[in-house]
Amino acid sequence: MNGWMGTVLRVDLTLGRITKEALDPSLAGDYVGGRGMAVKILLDELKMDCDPLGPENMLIFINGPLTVTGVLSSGRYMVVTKSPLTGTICSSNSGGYFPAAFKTAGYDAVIFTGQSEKPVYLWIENDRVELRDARSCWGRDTRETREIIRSETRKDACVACIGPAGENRVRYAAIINDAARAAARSGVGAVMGAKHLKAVAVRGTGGVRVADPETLLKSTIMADHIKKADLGIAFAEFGTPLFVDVMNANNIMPTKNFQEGFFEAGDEINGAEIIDRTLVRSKACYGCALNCGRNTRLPEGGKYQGRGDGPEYETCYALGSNIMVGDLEALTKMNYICNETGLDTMDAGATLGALMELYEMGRITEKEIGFPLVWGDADAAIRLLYMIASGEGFGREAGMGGKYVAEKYGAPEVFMGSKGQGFAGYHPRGMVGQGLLYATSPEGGNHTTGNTIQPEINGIPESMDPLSAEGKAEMVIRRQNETAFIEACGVCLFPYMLMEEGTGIIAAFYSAVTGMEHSEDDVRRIGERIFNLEREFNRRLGFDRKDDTLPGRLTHEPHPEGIAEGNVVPLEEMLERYYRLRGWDPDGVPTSDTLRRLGIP
Amino acid sequence: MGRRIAFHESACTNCHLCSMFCSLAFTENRIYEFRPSIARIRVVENADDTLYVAHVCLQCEDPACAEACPVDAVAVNPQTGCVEIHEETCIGCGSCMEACEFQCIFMVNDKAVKCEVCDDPLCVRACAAGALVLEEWEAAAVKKQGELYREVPL
Repeated sequence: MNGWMGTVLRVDLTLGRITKEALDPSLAGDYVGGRGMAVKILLDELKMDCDPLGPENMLIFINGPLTVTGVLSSGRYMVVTKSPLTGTICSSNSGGYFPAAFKTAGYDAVIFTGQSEKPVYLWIENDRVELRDARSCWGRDTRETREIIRSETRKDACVACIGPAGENRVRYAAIINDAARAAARSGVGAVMGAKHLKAVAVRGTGGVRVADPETLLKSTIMADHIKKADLGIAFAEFGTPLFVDVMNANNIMPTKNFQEGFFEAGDEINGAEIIDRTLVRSKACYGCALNCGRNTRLPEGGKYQGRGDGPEYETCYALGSNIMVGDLEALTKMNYICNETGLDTMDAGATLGALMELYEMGRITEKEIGFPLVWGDADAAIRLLYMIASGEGFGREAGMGGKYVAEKYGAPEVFMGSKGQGFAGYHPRGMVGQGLLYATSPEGGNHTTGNTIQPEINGIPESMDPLSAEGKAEMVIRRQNETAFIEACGVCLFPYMLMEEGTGIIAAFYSAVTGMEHSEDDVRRIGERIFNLEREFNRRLGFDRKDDTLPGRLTHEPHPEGIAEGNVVPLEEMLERYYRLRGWDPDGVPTSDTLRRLGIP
Repeated sequence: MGRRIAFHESACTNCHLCSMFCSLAFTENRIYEFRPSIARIRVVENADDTLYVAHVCLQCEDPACAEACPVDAVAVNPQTGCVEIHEETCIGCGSCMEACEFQCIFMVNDKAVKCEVCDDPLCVRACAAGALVLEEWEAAAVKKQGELYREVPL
């Protein structure tokens, strides 16, 4: 097979049994890889009503046919499972170097089932695969774990692991690979922790076959173009934190738990400030020409110390503007803590935002938390992050997520997320399509199941009124379908989502790698199939229209400033049209005609 | 002396596109694959993650690898100035690899391989960061690049 490795690894952690099986080519053709192939496997095999943190849940590490094929940004993998945070399907995505090693070791996917009695890690060296005792690194942070495992295996092994947060089953624990890249969202790290699987370490020396190398060589020319385009230059220079300026300028930078859309200290935590104060150098993931990664170090003599990666834009929002922290060094420190303990910075921020608002309301006090928790108090936030990761004191409750604490303390309306997962850093009152996207995302608040920044804010491919419901259902459906396909391919969303002609390019690359000719419409259709299958997964668990919601803050509280002043998200209006265009019934359930049309049995 | 692949560390982003595309040029029997483990250029970062270094042959004027080869498979091509390994002669003993203090020779399928400077090097084409450049051989630049290799070994 061109593109795919043709082998799936199965690891039964209960029995300690490892088996290999051939990849089913029709599964690959219909669902590609990544979240597409994984949701199909889960739907076929998972006991749907299982406890996400029980032995029955399945955990899938999966790359895609375009991973390590020279196409733009081809170094990514996904972790797909039933989420302990949302109870829905989830697919968490990461870059770095681990994904390339994982694929070149010879596997399209690793499927974990069961639960190990003792902590273990999986060591994959090409065709040699073994479960090893993880006593040496259980309890250690992600950086230490990587070092320990490298000393026990090979110094060039790529390691994806959990930290204390995952071991303690924090509902938004991340899986950290290569010390600083994160499959962060939806609590995938907690699923690993519950399975007593500390890490997956890999060395791969195999190759990925491709059908048409001539077309793939053009990828380098394209990379060069991107580097020389305005957005590409800005991206490489400032990394994703360049969005701080974009969001603030458009009053859509979520601030103070989404009460506001402009953060006054925005220019203290933006891309330029990072360059001035903390940047060591920018870096890329494997096979990517965009180098948006930030390799940083806290200045000597400062209040906070450490080195690592970040912050990325989403962290600038979640642990910055969202909780009113405008101190770059404190924000960077929080990012390091999340990377080291293995926490998702975004849901950490969503939870802290809810807690700070509850504290302000008097719903929760020093008595429960152990100390005051006021807006902008970075030291209190840092203290709480450590407690969350270790499960100490109030950290245990905070580790259940923003939705849990908001409900427990009698103000569910202060949780800013959907389906239990915190939003990304795009305020839907100033870009209402993003609101529809959050509400209908299969895994709740998420910026990687589609993103409307390009059409709604940057006018690509054509400009649309960010405040109007008009055309949004169509646009969101298109973005969601395209994104599902891109993510299934095992590449990064960025270049393809940023470029006007991204879908045509990914279709051409997919055709060139696999040798199976696919048009833009073909790949959108595969994306639509994947998205509907995820919907079907959730439907079987009882999710429907009642769960496609947004907090009242977004639909009823008017935006306080800027061009969106007075605006709210007209969700119901958009949702009705969205369901109709999707071919779903008024309850948001795909009709049998729709499933048949998409070839979903 | 002729041309060589010059590496400019400050521009490197550690993306490995060079080794990925290099491997494409060396796949055999028209089975095209990206197999970075056979590449003639290898990227590594230092322990602090502050230096990213692509090891690629410096095309030494008086190469230690050639000196070390027990079967005379390694030699400077007088036309191009490139250090070349004669594949059929190579016995895969690894002596050249050990002799290269810059770690720019690799073992692939029990044969020593190294950069012999392609006509239109895919590594250079793939390097969107501009860290790899086809340059005329120049002693001072080669010395500097060699020092970097000693500082950040593979």
